[in-house]
Amino acid sequence: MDSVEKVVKEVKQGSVEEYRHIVQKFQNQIFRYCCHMLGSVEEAEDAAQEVFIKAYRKINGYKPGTSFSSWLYRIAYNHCVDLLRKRKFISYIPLCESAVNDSCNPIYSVENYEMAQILRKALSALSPEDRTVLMLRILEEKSYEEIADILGKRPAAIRKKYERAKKKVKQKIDEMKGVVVNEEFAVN
Amino acid sequence: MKNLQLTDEIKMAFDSVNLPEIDVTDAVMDSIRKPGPRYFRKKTTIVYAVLAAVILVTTTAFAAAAKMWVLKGNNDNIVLRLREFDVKPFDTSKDPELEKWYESLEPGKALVYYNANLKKPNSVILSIYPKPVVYTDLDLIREKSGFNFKVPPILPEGFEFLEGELVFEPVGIKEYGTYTELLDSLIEETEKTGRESAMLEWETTSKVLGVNLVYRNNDKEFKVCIGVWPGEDVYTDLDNLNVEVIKINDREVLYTEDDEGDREVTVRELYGKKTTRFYNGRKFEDGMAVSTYLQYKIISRDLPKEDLLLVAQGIIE
Repeated sequence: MDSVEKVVKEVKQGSVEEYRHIVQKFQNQIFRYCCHMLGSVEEAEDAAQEVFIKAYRKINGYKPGTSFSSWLYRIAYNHCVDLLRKRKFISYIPLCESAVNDSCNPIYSVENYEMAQILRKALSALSPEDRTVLMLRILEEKSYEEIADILGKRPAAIRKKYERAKKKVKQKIDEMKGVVVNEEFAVN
Repeated sequence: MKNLQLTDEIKMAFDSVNLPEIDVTDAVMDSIRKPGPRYFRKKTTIVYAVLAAVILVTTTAFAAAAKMWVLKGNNDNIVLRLREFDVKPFDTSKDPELEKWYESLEPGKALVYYNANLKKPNSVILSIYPKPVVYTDLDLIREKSGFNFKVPPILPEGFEFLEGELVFEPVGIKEYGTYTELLDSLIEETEKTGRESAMLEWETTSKVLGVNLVYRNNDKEFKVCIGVWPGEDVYTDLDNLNVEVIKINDREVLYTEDDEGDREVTVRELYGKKTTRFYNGRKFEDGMAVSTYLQYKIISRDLPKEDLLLVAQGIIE
């Protein structure tokens, strides 16, 4: 039994205070995920908090021997999708804007900056599910099986979805190439 | 871009976002220790305005277009992308009540309109139709417009300037609270009355969104609509439109003609930069900086293509 499972078992048995270790271990992962899903640091912080409260309430639904992290991501995914649905208008959810202005960094090349901008825009245009697949696969390096478990789909379907999402990003990039240069460096 | 490289680039895009470390442990623990009502910051909702009367829809929500026409500027930069929308904007002629209200609206006021049928996935739209104010003094129009534009120096034979319409920005257009209050009250009204739509009269500011110059020769007329537009994307119904990119003195202009004989020539030039705004779930925040363009649109059903291009040529030279 790994340490997380041990803690979960204790929480299930009534040791509420042990839950603190779960929050501490996963909070920044979940926060980062919520931030990319919701496009807002402030909202992501609230969302992360709510995800852990929901997870605590549902802790008896977690099956020992399965990935706790995947179980937590499933709650986070459903919570973010709920929040996005409640918004009356979603035109495009920007990826979280960095607090650091990249262009102020002298070693950050113009080309990279342009590419990052294009990519952010392309990723922002994906559906929450597509973005989740890309994020979990590329950023969190989760297996297709784990992602399938989180999204309640079959691994083969996730593999296809992942390839399609990447293709969509590539298409968006191709559409936008040459445009961001115009946006960022236009002078009047 | 190769597949692996793309994967790396996507990873880099996610990684390039520097997020702060958070600690919600105490808040979570406090909450689970004390069952009962919990405090969360209120989640609000978002509404965007579509200024259908004067502004074509440029939101990315209409994207996923297959067809596209591109107009390039002096430095070969793209200044306009005319795209096919996949969700058609609301046809105002479908609501006679809206047309009636707009007819009787005092110039300089705006009509705020909600229609339950006007929506996109996960969205509700509030439309604002500002009614232009007519001036006949070109100098006054220039002064009030607040931006520099060129009055067409070449006119087709027999045509003279008749009047100019100034479209003023509605009050509170950039304030999220105003949108929600308006939308909520209009939705409430439709729920009370059982009707599909609700509307109310609204004030405008002194800021000008667009200038429409009207030229006439007896019963023939053309208009030059001038405004500063953010971004390159413009969405329209390309199915019923013949589109041509035409070069005048090495400058590209866009010529369009629809089935009903409405003809337009669009001339665009780089104007400056503007920071976009996006909604973060609670409030509007500054987003990316986009280029803005001074756009001239010469519109007529009476003039042949050659005459419209002649007016465009005068603006370009």
